[in-house]
Amino acid sequence: MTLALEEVRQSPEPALERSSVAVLILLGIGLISWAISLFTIDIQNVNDLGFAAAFAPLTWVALVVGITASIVTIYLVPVASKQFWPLMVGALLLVIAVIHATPMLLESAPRFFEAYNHVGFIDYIARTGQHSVQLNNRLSWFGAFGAGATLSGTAGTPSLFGAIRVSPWIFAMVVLLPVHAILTKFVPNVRARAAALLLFVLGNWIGQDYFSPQAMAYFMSMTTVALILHLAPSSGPTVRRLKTWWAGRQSLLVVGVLVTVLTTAIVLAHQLSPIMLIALVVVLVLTGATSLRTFPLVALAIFVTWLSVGGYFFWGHHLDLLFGVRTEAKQSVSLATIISQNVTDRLKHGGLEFVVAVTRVAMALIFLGAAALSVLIGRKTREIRVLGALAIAPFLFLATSGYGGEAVLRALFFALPFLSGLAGILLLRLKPRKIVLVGLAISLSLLATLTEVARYGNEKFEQISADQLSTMQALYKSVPKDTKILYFGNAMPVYFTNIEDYASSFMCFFHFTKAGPKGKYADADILRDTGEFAPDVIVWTPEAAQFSSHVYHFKKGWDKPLLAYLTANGFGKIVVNRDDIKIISYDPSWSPKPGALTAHG
Amino acid sequence: MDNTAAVTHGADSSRARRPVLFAKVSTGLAALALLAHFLPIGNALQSQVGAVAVVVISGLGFLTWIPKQRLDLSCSVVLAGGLALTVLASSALLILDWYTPDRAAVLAVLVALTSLFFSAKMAGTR
Repeated sequence: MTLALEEVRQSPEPALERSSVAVLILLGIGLISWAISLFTIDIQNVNDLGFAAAFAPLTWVALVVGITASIVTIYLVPVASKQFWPLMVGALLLVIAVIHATPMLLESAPRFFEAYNHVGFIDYIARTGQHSVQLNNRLSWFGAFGAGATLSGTAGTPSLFGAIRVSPWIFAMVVLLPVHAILTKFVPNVRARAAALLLFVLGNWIGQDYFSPQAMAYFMSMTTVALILHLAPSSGPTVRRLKTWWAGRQSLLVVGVLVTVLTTAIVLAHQLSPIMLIALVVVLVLTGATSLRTFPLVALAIFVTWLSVGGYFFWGHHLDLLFGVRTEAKQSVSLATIISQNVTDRLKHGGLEFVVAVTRVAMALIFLGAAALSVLIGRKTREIRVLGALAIAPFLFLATSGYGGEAVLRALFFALPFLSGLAGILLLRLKPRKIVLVGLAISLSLLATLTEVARYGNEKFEQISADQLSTMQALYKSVPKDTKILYFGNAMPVYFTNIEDYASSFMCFFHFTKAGPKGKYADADILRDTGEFAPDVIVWTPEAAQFSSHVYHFKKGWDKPLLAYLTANGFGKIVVNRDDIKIISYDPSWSPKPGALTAHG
Repeated sequence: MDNTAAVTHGADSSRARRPVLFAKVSTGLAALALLAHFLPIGNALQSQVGAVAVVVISGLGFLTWIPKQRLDLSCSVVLAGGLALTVLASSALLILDWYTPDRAAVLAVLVALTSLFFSAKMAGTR
């Protein structure tokens, strides 16, 4: 009801406002600029700043025009007009296309090496009808891979490289649906909601949107939150008035069944997303935003049940993984260390890598700061307080799990819809004067530039060429069964087909006894572990070696002497020797014909 | 306003007709997916037609029970619900060691159609 009144209160409907015509023209200019620029971008120019370094001037024009069209729509197009949402959606799609579709359209093979692993799991399930945790413990959560096999495999062996290519682009668009549905409950002002969607698009630099279970689980989680808010809404008291709060509970059978089905699917699909979902639902329940008082317990029961059955292989004998006591080198890792690994360690690089790391931290701080300011100003409004609590909830995950790596990033991603909502409310506190609009167009264009840098910067190793991919396809087709393959790192297209037919190991996962992978014994450790694995085939790509340096702290240039040693010791035979990939065979029984593994060979 | 009451008690005729319409659309989609299997359009295209049909049919099965007519929520529910039913059908068959992609797709669609027809029957008896 509040929403309807708010919308009616806004300006009356003219025939076709000048502002609407202006946005239409801007969108046309932006689209044409982007389309032309696609023919002029040279992806060889991609460096540590990512695609920002390769963008043609017209690509930047398209991005700035897309942002400007959004600002004009948000502040000047009448919300009561039929054009408001079509224009806003058009502007959002243009911005998404420039940021996410440009790499997808220009790269010769789809990026994101992890996605290739996921294709391998899907291919395995489709062919064998099995989910073997012996092959990989991620198959303990086989729901998303099973769904992938079902959806792609009904007509034969899946071919999912196309899905890898378009996933980030598609995800960036469709996730706006549940995010908008959620925000309608907290942000009654239509313009503020539109601003929040734009900020969500610009804040989505986190890279969890590739072809992956977590992207699917994220979408289902946000839809679950939206469903709870729309089908079991409540504006009753918070848990602080316990008796009244408890009296406001409802048992809605249909809603309960629907969200339970969705939660079960999320639990089966991804190990971490259910914790985030439970955190968000707990906030909704405690703040009285929903009448489903007991649903968090149901969700927790589903999660714990699966963890104790399906997830046993993951945590069995490693209870520390579950209770925030992650260990490294037999030393417990504290919460402070996890945060340090997520934030400060990433700032230790130099040059452009440092610029990208700072950009990412700055992006996070901008959103967190804007949201905090919004809560401070609007703290007397219930919706804003609930949004603030929802924005904090995912970070509590850090205290409940020993999951290191990208924990802060994932928490930030789950908080993003609510941070964007709060920041959108803050933006609409500005009066739409000409100088303000110009300032906003400039500052949000700069923010979009930061998004581009944060999203694709420091990820040159994610690039995969069609030549590399075809060589790896040929390798997997030709090696004998049970071949042991050792890779210089995992940032390459590996493990995407017939994963049960060969054993794989990655140098980036080697254990180092003294002073780590940068120490003076590192080379000896690598050689020792290589010998212990006794590979039949070794594969090198520059991206894999670079990734091991960037993420696993191998010293820069570590691969060159090792490669020289491995190829010079007389045992190995180089079967592929290109600048982008080298394959060395130690298996005398396997000798592919010359050119068989080379691109176009 | 609690919209759940509307679906349970049948608040308006368009909402009551919705499950019947969805059931017809789903049957049409299922027929299309089946037909695609026999057309010489290549595995990739067959898969895409099949995947879209499975997700949409399963999602409509979900959507039938949701009274709110908002476009954003409805589209989310079709996609997320369709994916969720596919996840559950695939997982159930994998656990039972009886999995093939076709069986999982058929199971997901059957569950969705059952939901649709049950909902349509409820709408018809209101």
